[in-house]
Amino acid sequence: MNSALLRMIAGRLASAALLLLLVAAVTFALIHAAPGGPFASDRAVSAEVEAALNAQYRLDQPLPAQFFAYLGQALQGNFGPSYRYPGRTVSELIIAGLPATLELACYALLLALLIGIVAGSLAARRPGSAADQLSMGLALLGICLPAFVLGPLLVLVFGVYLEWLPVSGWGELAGDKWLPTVTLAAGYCAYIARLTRAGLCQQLSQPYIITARSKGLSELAIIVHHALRGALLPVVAYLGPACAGLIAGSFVVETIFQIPGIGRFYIQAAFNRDYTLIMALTLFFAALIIFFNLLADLVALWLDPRQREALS
Amino acid sequence: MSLLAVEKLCVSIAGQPLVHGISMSVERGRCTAIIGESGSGKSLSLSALLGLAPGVVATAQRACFDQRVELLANPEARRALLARQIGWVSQEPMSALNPFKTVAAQITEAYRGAQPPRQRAAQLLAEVGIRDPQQRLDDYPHQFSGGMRQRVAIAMALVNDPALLICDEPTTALDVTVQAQILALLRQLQQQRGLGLILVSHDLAVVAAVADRVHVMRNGEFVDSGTPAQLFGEPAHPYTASLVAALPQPQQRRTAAPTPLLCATQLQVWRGSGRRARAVVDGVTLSVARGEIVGLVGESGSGKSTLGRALLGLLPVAAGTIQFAGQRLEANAVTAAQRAALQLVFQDPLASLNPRYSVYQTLAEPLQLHSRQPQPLAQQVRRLAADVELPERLLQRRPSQLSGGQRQRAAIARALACQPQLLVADEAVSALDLSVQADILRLLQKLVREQQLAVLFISHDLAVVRAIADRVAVMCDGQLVEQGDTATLWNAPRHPYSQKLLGAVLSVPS
Repeated sequence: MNSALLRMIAGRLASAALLLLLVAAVTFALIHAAPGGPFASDRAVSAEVEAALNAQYRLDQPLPAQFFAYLGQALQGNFGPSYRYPGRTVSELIIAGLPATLELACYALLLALLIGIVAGSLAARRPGSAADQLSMGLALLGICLPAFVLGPLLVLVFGVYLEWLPVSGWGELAGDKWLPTVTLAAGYCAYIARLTRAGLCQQLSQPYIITARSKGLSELAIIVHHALRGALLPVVAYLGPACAGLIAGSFVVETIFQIPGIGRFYIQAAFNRDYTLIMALTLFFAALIIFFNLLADLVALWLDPRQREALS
Repeated sequence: MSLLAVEKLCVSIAGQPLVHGISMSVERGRCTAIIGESGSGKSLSLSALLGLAPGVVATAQRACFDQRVELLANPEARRALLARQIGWVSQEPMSALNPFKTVAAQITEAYRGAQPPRQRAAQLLAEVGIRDPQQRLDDYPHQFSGGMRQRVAIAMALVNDPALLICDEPTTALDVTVQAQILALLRQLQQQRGLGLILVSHDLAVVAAVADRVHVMRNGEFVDSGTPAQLFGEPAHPYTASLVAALPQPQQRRTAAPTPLLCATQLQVWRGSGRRARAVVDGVTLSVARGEIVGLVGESGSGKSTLGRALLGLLPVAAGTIQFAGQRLEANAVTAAQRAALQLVFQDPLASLNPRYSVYQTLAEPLQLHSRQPQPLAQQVRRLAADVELPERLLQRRPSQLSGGQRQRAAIARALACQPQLLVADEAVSALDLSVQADILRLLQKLVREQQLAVLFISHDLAVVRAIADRVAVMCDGQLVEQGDTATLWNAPRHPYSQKLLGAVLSVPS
């Protein structure tokens, strides 16, 4: 059992390395295929200066040479200097922005899980009831409303009209973390609620639920101790990519609320042709997606004994 | 003094009355049984009484447990009773246990006694006859076979020493030898603990073996009641009589063609891969001739289905040969003609028929592929339906809109559409009610007689095999331990395993 698990993890890590290499190659090719470069800004720079800059950052060498030089450095943990933030390395920039992004993602995930699972469970208890229709209606709204609509809307209502919460910032004023967290969590929360409801409805129709009822358990105990575990399997499968998305996809929320996270760098880096920053962030997000998918699979294995059996 | 007294219980779903005022009682140490065909409302009555089925409305003049608690008037008290006094064993051993929890956790979940829970679980597992109970406490349901799961379910129901045990078809899906053990266990509990038992079954032999009082249920009513001896010995009510008459009866042997149509020699079939690979069929030599029904019996896991599929060329063979109609049959080189000539009928037609095809489409498809008859397709389909006695008005229905028997007729018709020479029927009547089962068996015999089909009839139900087969082969752990003429084998089984298997068969006293 344990050796099979280790074999599976080792296999996944090996394929992850291959995948990251592929992502690096494709990203590298794409950013160099895009017109312009880090120093081709609208400020007039003399040809000599641009040539000197290119030579300093080795941009004058053939592309394959650049790529392998980059790989060699990246493998040693050196992702190079940022082209647009002079004097700072890419690693410094990421490390500076990561805490805010991670904090925001964690809060949003906890909020989405808590509300999503509770709302989904309430809805599944009596399909078709008012609680079901209300929570599923809200969930539909949550899925449909993009963050760039929901965020300003929340700011308008709670920040401007009611003046309950600050309109932007992160960790500067009391309560300024609420609105970004809710904005980021809404869509995920809605998906989790719908998945929980569907999973619970499916599990509650299984014969083993009748067995549980025949033990004299309360309906709440039946849901919590029996049905929820199986019902959460699809939620866990969704959480893998969702966790990565929470971190990588928070740039809209970070932009709306002026949060100093890494999401904002990603957009700016793309516009600025900040090659090293784009490469590092893309690889970082790819690694996150791979990691969280592996984690989700491991949690599913922990939840479902039949999957453990199939593994060995 | 009755442990449970029910008077005029009515049950309805969505305003539609399904059970119309049944009355019954059970005393301590006694067993009351309800028999009837599927859809008669027997399971529904009991699950409604206990509040196990949501969306069901139950009313009764009286539904009193132990002279004290009105079950239907007081759901909270009923739930407390379920936790301590009433045990319930479900109909479906394969899915009645939570797949995500260990058996020990499930058994002791509602335990209120003083013993350490794991010790109690091990004790109960030992009591229901599970070997090495200590080692199996942390196993999950999928690591147990169907029979073992049923035992776990019974252990679970007994955890708080209930006064009343309600068993819904507790042995239907089980092998005869396991069935005999479970019934013996139930009888023993009844005598030792004074357990009151309510048994729901469609199996007359099981009921006759355990029950003190029997109610015959049909369309939501009790049409007949009495002791098993009264009911089955000299059935007074015509419906009871028809149930008894539908019991499989031993038949005269047909005379088969002298040369076998299918002949397997020293067959070996492997299943699984890597370290788990093992020979599921090992050294089997078997033949089937035209116009002959060969029964293949054995317990679940003995390799019957694997052998059946290998004989049809559906599974590769590791060693040995199969000759079909004088030609070699190889799984990786089955010709179209051979494929058409070798057909399979499954146990569960709902799973094996395409749910989105109407019966007509299901039958037309193989006819388009294989038929060389000049008549129009629609006419051929209708003749096929007539052959299996399937009314023409059902041709446009989908499998889900048919009854179990009609579905099985459609599945047989589908197999016949290819004009097969050999039919392998794998537990083809096991899921059917007694009267429907009798009809399907009659149909198979008619087809064998009229079309000179060769049939390999795989079943765990020995009474059915005895009724239909000309010869019987007994399979145990992948090997044929004995084969021979049905009557001879039944009267004088030679191999110890055949003796054990046949010794476990229950029969209805006549």
